[in-house]
Amino acid sequence: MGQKDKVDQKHIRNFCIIAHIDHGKSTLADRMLEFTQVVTGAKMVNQILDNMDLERERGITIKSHAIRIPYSYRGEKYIFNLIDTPGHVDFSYEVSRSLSSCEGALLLVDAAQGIEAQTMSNMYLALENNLDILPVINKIDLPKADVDGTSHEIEETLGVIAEDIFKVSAKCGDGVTELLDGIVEKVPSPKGSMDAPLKALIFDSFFDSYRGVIVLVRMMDGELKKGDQIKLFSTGKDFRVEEIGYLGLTFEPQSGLSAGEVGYIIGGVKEVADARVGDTITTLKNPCIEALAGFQEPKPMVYSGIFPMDKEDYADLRDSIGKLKLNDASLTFEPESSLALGFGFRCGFLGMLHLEIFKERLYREFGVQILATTPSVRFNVHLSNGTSRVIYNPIDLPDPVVINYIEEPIMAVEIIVPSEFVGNIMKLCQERRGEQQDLQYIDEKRVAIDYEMPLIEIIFDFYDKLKSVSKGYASLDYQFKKFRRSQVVKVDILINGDKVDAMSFICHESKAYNWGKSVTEKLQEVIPRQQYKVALQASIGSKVIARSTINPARKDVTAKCYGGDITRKRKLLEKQKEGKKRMKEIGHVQVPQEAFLEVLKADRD
Amino acid sequence: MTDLKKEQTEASHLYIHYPFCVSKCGYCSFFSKEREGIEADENFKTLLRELSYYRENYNLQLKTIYLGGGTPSLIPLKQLAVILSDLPVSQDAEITIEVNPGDVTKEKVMNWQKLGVNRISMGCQSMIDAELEFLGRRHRRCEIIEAVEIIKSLGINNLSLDLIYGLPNQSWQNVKHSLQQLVSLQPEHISTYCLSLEEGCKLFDWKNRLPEDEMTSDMYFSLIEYLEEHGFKQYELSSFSKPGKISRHNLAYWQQQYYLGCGPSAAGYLPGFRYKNPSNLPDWEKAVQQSRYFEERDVITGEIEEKEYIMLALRLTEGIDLEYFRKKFKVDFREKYSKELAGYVARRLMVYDDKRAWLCRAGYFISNEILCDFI
Repeated sequence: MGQKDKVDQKHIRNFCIIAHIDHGKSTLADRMLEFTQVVTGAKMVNQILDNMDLERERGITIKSHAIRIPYSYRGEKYIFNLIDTPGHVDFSYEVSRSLSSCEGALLLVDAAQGIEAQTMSNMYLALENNLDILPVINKIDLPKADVDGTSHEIEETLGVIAEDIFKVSAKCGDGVTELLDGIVEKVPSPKGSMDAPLKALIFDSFFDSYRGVIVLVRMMDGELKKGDQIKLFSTGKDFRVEEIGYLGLTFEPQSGLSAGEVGYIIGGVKEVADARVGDTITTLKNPCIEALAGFQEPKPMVYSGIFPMDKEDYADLRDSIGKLKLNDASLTFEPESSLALGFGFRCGFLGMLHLEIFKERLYREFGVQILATTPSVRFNVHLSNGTSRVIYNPIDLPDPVVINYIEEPIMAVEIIVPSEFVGNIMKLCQERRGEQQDLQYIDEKRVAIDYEMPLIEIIFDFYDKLKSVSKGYASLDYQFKKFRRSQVVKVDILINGDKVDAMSFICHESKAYNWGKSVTEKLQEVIPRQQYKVALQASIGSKVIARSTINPARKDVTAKCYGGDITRKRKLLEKQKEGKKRMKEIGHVQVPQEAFLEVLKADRD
Repeated sequence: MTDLKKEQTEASHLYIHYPFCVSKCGYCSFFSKEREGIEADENFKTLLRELSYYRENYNLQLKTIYLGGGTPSLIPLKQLAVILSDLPVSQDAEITIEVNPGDVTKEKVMNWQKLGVNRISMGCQSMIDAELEFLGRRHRRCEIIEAVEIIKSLGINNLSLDLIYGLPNQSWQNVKHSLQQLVSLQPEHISTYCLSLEEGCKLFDWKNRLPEDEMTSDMYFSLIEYLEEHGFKQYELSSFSKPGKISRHNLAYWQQQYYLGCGPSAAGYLPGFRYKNPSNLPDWEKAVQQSRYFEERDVITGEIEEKEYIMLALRLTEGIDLEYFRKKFKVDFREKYSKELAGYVARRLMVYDDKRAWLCRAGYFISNEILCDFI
């Protein structure tokens, strides 16, 4: 446990790579690790920083990561700390905290795609955090690469001159050495005070089943040593530093960290909620006066009821969610029960991707299969008696007669798209109750359009629709803006007159008919015919707004038993019986579990 | 196994599967092969070996023999003579052969008769040539008429004709047309099957273009009425007969009696278990050569036997024999299934009296859905 790599602050460069999804961020990171010999051929696993299977499969970074890279420049030893940031709007708060632990950012743009919505939003975030931006054009080796066009776009948006733009092919390695040199030359060194009281920023924390919570920090001021008692600003909780060190390919324990450095701390923290991203660490003995700016408690934006497929698995589900929570401070959950689905949990997520990841992890890491009900958002409900409450489950919406008004969350949406698709995009956004705020040409061919749009309109396949009306060219970014008064109503779904609580949803009055209709039609497709006629209805209060009918089963017969193979027939019937058992009985109707999943796919136009 | 053999009750029913066909029909996903000389010889030898095993180990008193396939009308006469020659058959046994109309000649039928065959089941399937072509049948309407004429003229008075309905784009008028013509041929028995396309058959791509359930269901009920009007009584979901001409072999299946199955993919039922022979020729031959019988078997416990009884009896129009049920399974059917029964009676899908419980006609075409609740 030495201080072998200890270098002066002026030889440290802390930076991140920001890019739109798929612009090659992880590949560039891999190549930099290879060029600096942190990893050599044999150890090279593509996209080293994305170490969750899910991250590699989806090609996105979900968690922040960091790695320490030694680099020699003109005979002097430098230390780079590359901080990788999540690549999805659901995690923009985490992105902003990662950015604030850096002095510089490589703004990576795909030469074939040009600037996209997330390029812009990340760039603004970087500017807000006073980072020096190094523009980098990637994928210059692609046949479709338009290096000059992309360069022109960057000049226009960022106000830089062409010769300040790095041009690389992360895949082949072209231009990577020049970029590494550029980082030394252009990213400022940290300017922390060694003598000031400790101030360290948590830019990530994650749970390890053997070691507890591992906290990733950027040292802003002061020093921290093994054995020190530390305090977290937001929670006031204190811990003792049991281990501290650098983040190489593995953990590299040290005796301490000092201003300007990036590293990890382990100190008996039980769950990540106790060491939240964005919080400030200081020492108990000599605390700093003020916390670092920018800490927020991330608030869930999207809610869904999570129920076990098999009622028997409730206890497993509870344990598994508890374990995921250890590593996911922004996940919220509380028990919920549904007539149709039994016991489960109402869970809150940062966005739809967060929800997707949660479902996948439950299944992959814990083998728990779940049913997630139609997602909803949080509504502020103002009652006639002057009080208000937050509703995040449609079934909790009070009777309309006691409601004064309801507010729904509105997002600031940015879409970048080739100008030929502007008409389509505007039409789509209008259908989704978007209000246009701004429209600007970033160059002759591409337009950035800003909208204010209700979140509830975004969470149902807006992204897919956006892609399909723009032949895949449009890119999207959004973040919470405000709550706004809105005419929303609760739509109930009834099967043979029985309300299916898990299928109720809240939507804008103008959408109720279409959404109700598409849900009843979807159910008509997925609920098998029964022995009698089944009525499917969508209603607002007692008023039925849409209906469909499932005709009674007319045919379910095995006409022939070839050569007297009775066993086969019996087994087929037993299978059919099993299938029937797995269905949920609602209003004497056997509803397959898939129906609950399929209603999520009902068209929301 | 040895113990089983010794306490053996007599086996009264024998099914023999002949796997070869000239060509496979478009809707067939069962085991059959285009015939090739060597394979057919090998199949014959193996079949004899299997039959002799049953003869030696079981007390055969055959009341029915059923030659099914495949296309048993392709069995060379010499082979058939050997197969049937040495079997202990009771005086009034029903011996059925399944035939393709195209294979029927006067000479063949006479020889079959000599060997004891007294019932013929003919796979007509349709009386419309375009439909026969679609189904991949190698015979045509006129061959059916000629074949029936030959069979009748030789004095066979137990003829069954098969019909398939529910073809893509088929109307009730089409089905009725075939039915009318089949009835006019004066068979003693008619079986009707709704076309179903399972994975592996040549017509599988047509699955989505089969008529709607409403349509086939209407066809089914209309054909029941038509056949009843013409003197055929329905005794099973798919089977209709003139008085006294019920298929005794098939009835044995529905009445849960023991039977032996010989040949590749054949199934059998013996006290305590059901078995199925290997489905492909080499595996079956190997098993028989090595005297490995009943390897794929399904143990029939009392509980399964009871479920099976319900499942099979409810296929028959006479339904469940309540007295028999009580004696055999030591429980009263109406009490044990009172809840299910009440539900189905209320929905007019089942009826019962003091002696029996049976499906109403309205329940026939959704019988699987109903049977599920009883097994």
